[in-house]
Amino acid sequence: MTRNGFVDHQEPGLSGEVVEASTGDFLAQSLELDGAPPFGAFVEVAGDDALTVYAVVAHVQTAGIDPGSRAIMRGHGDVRDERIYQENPDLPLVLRTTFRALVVGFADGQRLHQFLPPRPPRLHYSVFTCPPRTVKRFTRESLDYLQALLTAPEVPSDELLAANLRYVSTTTGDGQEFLERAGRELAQLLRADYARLTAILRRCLAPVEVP
Amino acid sequence: MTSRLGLLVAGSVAEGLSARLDPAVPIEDVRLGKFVKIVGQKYEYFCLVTDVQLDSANNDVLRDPPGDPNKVDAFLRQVLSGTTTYALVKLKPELMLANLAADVEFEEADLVPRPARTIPPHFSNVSEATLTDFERVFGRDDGKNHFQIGQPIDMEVPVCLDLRRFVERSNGIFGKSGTGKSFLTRLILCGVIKAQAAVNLIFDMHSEYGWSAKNEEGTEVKGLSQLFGGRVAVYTLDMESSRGRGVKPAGEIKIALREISVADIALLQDELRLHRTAVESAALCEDKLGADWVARLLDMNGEELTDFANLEGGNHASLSALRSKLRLIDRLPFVERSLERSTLDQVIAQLERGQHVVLEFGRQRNLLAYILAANVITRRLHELWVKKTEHYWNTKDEADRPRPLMITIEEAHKFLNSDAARQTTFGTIARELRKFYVTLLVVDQRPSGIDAEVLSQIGTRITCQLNDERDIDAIFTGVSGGSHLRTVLATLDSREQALVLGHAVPMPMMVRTRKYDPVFYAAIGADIPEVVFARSRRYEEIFGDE
Repeated sequence: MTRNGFVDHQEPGLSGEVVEASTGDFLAQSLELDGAPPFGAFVEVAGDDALTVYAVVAHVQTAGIDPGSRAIMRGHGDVRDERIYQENPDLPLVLRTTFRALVVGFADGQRLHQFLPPRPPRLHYSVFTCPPRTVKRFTRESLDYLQALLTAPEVPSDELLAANLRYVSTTTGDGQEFLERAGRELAQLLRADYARLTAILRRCLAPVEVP
Repeated sequence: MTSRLGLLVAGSVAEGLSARLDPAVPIEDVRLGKFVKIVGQKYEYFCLVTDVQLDSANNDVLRDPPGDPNKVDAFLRQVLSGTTTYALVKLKPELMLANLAADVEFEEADLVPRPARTIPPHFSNVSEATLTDFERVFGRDDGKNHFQIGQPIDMEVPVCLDLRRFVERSNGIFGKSGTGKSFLTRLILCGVIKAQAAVNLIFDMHSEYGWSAKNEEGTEVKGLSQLFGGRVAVYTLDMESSRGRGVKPAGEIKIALREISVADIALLQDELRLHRTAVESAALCEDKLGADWVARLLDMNGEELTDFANLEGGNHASLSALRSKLRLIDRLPFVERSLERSTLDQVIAQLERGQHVVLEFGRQRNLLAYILAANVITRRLHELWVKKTEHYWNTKDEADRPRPLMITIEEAHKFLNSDAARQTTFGTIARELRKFYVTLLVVDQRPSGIDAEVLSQIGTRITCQLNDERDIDAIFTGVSGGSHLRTVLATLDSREQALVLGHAVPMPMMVRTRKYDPVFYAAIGADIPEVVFARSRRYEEIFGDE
């Protein structure tokens, strides 16, 4: 697989680099084309100080590197799918995968907080997919971050929530126990919107493979 | 330490409180009549659960319930329970007591339980009451002032009656037949006798209190005389029947005709099917013929009766009818034309000495015999106790203070129905309260048959299961907050459960009544074989074999 610039770097969990940052979310370019962390996954960006920002992948996009240019159809005859990439080795150089992550909390030193950090992550810093132990630690104490996912603008928030809950339940291995806890929390948050609650919970129950 | 049930969310003093049940508490563990505590900022409140409700934060859930047995709906139900759908517990605050943990100076009065006149703030903790809470409220069975009547429905802690308060007023034990009234009565009598709170006279219509009787399972249970030996004497109206059951009565009761008064006849109006004018005719006879009026009227032949009617202005037909009805009394085996020595005096002297008396009726268990004998004896006792009390008022000497006397009557509605209550001694006793140190223990299965005025004076009501609406209404005559308790009463089991409310308990309480069995005998200090043997010997020494 071709890498977006990081050809020889092999740090485990490394997923990309921050290319646009704000208080509520950041955009990262994925290390590999089509290699973004899964939708709903937890990612982290550490700073030089003790501040580590945690975020949930809310949107993944692959498009041309040049914002002005759009990808065109390259297939012809029986050249389709993977063969197109083989015939056009320049494609990984003109295409890139980016993902947008919603900031849901941060750690300052030992303490975890599930609200927005004082500063956004720094541009060009590395984005890592959180290891299961971090996901477990983040979700163990509280599930206040679900409120942030629920009210996130411009993302399919119901899908995002369901994807995140599925991700956590399979990554941490807590499965049903976590889903029940999260379900209760959601039931509290969505006590006025029963239809939305059931829609989200139904989506949570489908099992998902951890990549 | 205390197990939390939920949080207080709404309520008022008048309407009661609502608490939201914690999701972790199974709703089915919270039953009506449960005793719970709410810790407020200044006071602790003791409440009864009067209702349990299902509620939901969102009605959409109820319109489209997750009822499918599939995985998703099962998960939904699990997630919703305790959050969107939850249980509300309705509570009736009964008592408040100083919260000793609070940093507040309390007055003396705050340290004893008193009726709740305010409510705790929002989100106060609602928890199960502990043994300590029960002891603070109901006291501890100390063999003197407090007597354990049973346990709460769902806990293993004692619920006690305050016996001093209990004997201060007339009391009632109610419940439809077969609910264990007579066992409950026996239990309470044991408590009163053990604590010497009052001297007891028991009109034992079915001959079951004095000596052993069979319970519903057919096992023999001990009578009061077996448990307390010489302190309880059994008298009988039917020596043959008593002997036949192995009882050794202290004496046989006979009633002389001259011991019967107009008031006794008035009470028998129903049983004898007397005409309304009969009582007037009887009064006329008593006036003109003197103490022996019954005998003299019975002995008159037709001519003498006509002469008497003409001479004294009586109605011949009425007198004649009265005479034929009085024959029914004359024919009762325990009624004698005349007696050398009044056997009633013997009983009365016994009671004056502080010995308890059970009066067995043997085969004389028809109402005519029962009402007549009970009323004749009670009238005499009441007159005596009134005299004693008046004497005590004059001398103000503690030694002259009459012993409290408690008279147990079954089928009480026969004595205390709205007609009889106005004219009989029983009605007077029930209304006069403790003024003359005589009170009633009324045992009845139809409380609605008892005069409302008498019912409102009943101090402590111990009620087993009742089904009839009118009977249930009657129980709550003169009780504030009765509507809350109705639902509690309606859920009593048919056996060994009772609702206790009134003067002798600080708050109404639903109890599993104590079992009347060897464990109980031992607890009240009886049934140690040597003691029983010694007692029986002493008994024979005192009263002889005959």
